[in-house]
Amino acid sequence: MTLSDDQIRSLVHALSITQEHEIDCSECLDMVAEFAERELARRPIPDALETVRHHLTRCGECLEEYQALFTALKRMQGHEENEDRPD
Amino acid sequence: MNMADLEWPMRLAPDSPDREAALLELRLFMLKAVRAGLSRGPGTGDDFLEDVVQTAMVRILDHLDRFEGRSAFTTWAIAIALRVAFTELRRKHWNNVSLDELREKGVFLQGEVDSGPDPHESVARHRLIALMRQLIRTQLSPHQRDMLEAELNGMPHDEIAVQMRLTRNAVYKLGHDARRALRRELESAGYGVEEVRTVLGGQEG
Repeated sequence: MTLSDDQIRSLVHALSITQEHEIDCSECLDMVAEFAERELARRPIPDALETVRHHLTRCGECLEEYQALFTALKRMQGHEENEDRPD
Repeated sequence: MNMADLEWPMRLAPDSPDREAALLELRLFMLKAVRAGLSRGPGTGDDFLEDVVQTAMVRILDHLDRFEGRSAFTTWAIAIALRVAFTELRRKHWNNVSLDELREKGVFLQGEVDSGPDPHESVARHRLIALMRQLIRTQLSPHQRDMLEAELNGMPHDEIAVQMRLTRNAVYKLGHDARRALRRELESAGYGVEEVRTVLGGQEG
């Protein structure tokens, strides 16, 4: 396998943030709804949910899904607020 | 957990008299939410959204017991639907692209081989990169190398899983095991986390 220097640098950076225990994509999915709600409401993130934040730094797919979830929640929340607003 | 979140699993249960109404309500809600999350990206028309929500509904009904009430039920449901949506979008994007084809076409890993220090690169950085190349060659299994190679070339884990006939979780674990092994070896060679950050000059990957 021949990797470019930039790819090696990306990998070395990934190693520098690698933890001994990391959650996988299924565990992330189990917890990401609570994580997104807390982030949206700017509520504190408990230690148990920090594993989600770390997973999102390592897994591009889960990050993409989380960002879409956050966007959806934000838009749905805005939609509900508009519906509740008196004319 | 509020009352509505408690009620959703009960309303969706097979013996619930309210099941049909709950299914319709959830389906319409998810259509709206998934559309909002995908922001009308390419390939996300109404037919696609209907298929995604249909697949997600089946998955949600099969896994009602996994809803633990740590979030709103609907947030949990949207997260599942978005995973279904992105998995399908990635599959379409990477369809017909195999690891072998990428290698043959030379699209993959157009890397520089050890050719001496770049004049703009510090000697320490060059040494670290050379060590990494050596560790990848000697410390990883062929599966781990294939996985890293694909990941570093932007192939999503979903697609790597399909091509390696693994689950997405197994691909993540394969990568995690490889990173842990490489990190251990780096540390044995005297490169701790801080040392690596210093050598790379704070690069963010």
